[in-house]
Amino acid sequence: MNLVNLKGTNSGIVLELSSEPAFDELKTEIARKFKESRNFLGKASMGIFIKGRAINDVEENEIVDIIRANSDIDISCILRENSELDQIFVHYAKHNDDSEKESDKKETNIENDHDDADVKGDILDSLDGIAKIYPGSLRSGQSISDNRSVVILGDVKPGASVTSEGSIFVMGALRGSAFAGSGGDERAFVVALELDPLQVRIANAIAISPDSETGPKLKMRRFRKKVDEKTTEVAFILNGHVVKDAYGASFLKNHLGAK
Amino acid sequence: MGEVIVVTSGKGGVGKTTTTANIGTGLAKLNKKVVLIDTDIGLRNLDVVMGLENRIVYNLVDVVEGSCKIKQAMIRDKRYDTLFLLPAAQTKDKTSVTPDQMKKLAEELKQEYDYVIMDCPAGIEQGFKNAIAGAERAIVVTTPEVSAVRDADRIIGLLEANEIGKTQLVVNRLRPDMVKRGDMMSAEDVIDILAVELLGVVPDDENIVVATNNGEPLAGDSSLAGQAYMNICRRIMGESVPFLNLDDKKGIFATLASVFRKS
Repeated sequence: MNLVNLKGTNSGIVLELSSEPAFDELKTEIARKFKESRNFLGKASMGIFIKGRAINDVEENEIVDIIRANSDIDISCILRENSELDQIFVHYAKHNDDSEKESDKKETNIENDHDDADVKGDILDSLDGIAKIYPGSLRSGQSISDNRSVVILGDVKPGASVTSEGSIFVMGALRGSAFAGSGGDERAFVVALELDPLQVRIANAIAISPDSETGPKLKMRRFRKKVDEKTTEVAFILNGHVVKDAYGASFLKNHLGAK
Repeated sequence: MGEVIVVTSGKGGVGKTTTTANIGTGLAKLNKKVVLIDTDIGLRNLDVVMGLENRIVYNLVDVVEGSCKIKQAMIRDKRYDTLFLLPAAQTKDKTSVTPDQMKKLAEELKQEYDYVIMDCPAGIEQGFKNAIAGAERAIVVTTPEVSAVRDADRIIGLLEANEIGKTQLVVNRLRPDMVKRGDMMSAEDVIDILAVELLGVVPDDENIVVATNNGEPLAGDSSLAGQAYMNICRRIMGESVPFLNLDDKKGIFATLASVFRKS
């Protein structure tokens, strides 16, 4: 269980604090979390909802100071929550979740994942050293840049971009831009369940989507294709050019030297 | 020495970007060297309307910050060799650029191009101030609706306050049939309210939607809107072109319908 969890809502941030450790311990963790997501949060004005732990006025002020010092956001209001009441809510909420999951095991959708934020946080944290993992879709105007490989667990929409010094894995449709091997690594590659990008750059090579065939009209038609026609594809450098191929045994063998 | 023109409106959704794309295409068709600058940082659209989205590597913010050369960020149009696009950044916001920087950029570009056309974002905040900073001339786009005309009036006031030399009006998305019935303001009504020179009237045309979705501006083709935009381009260049009779050129279905209505 994490000491501190940050969750974004439409108009604010939910700051989930663990009730066990000393408050001082939490303070450093809060500072770290906000520093980490400084760029992501930007300069917006937002409300903060503190839950999971009963805090007093002095502690609240300290938290506000820490957030101000470690991020650019403008705190418009702070809500505290009655922790006992919350625990009752959480208790019942979890019960409902469990029963739902049992009745419909197939649909472990994203919303459920969000409810189990603690579990998710742990899994992703444990992979932290290997890759940057983004649990969701990137919309137009959003971008991710990392020196590790990047895994996007959703789609990358047109106007969004992913940059990595390593490789890029999109567990959804890549329709925006991807820049793998930004440090110059020509072995880097880009994999997506649906590889339909505006632009793919790998090291010093660049490939753009063809004009005439991918007008929005045709793209719309493509959306209507049957699911089974979609294939996972990979973009990589071959003889200095970015090429696209089906992701499978031949790629693994030729490009990665797998047996 | 070229001319810097800003295309603006105040209200959103009246067709600034479409107008910019078509004027640029039309002027290029008339053999002018044109650069279109998308100043709507964070909500760029001009690249999509021009069908050049996939070519973007550098953008306006990169140019202004000096992280690339102007030439590197310029995207040449698919169809016209003398038409260029300087796209906006999508991951930044309007504050990434200042009016002074825009002014400098415009000064630099007009040495080389016949027309530098700024596509202004909606609103009157920083984005608007950036777009008009280097402009010598303004094209205000409005639709014949009270809300759009109200905003256009405000914009014209702001342009005058900023000493933009010449302000002209494009009335977009006019429906002659509705004007005839008295359900819509005519271009003359709009001119009466705004008291500025009329540059052109563009009829509401389905072809615009198709052209926009295909990323190929229709200025200069056989459609009524395409002709209207071409006339606007000629007027920008100083020619005196009579206004299209929008009512005259009915499509085959409208003609048929009117035959049935008469009988």
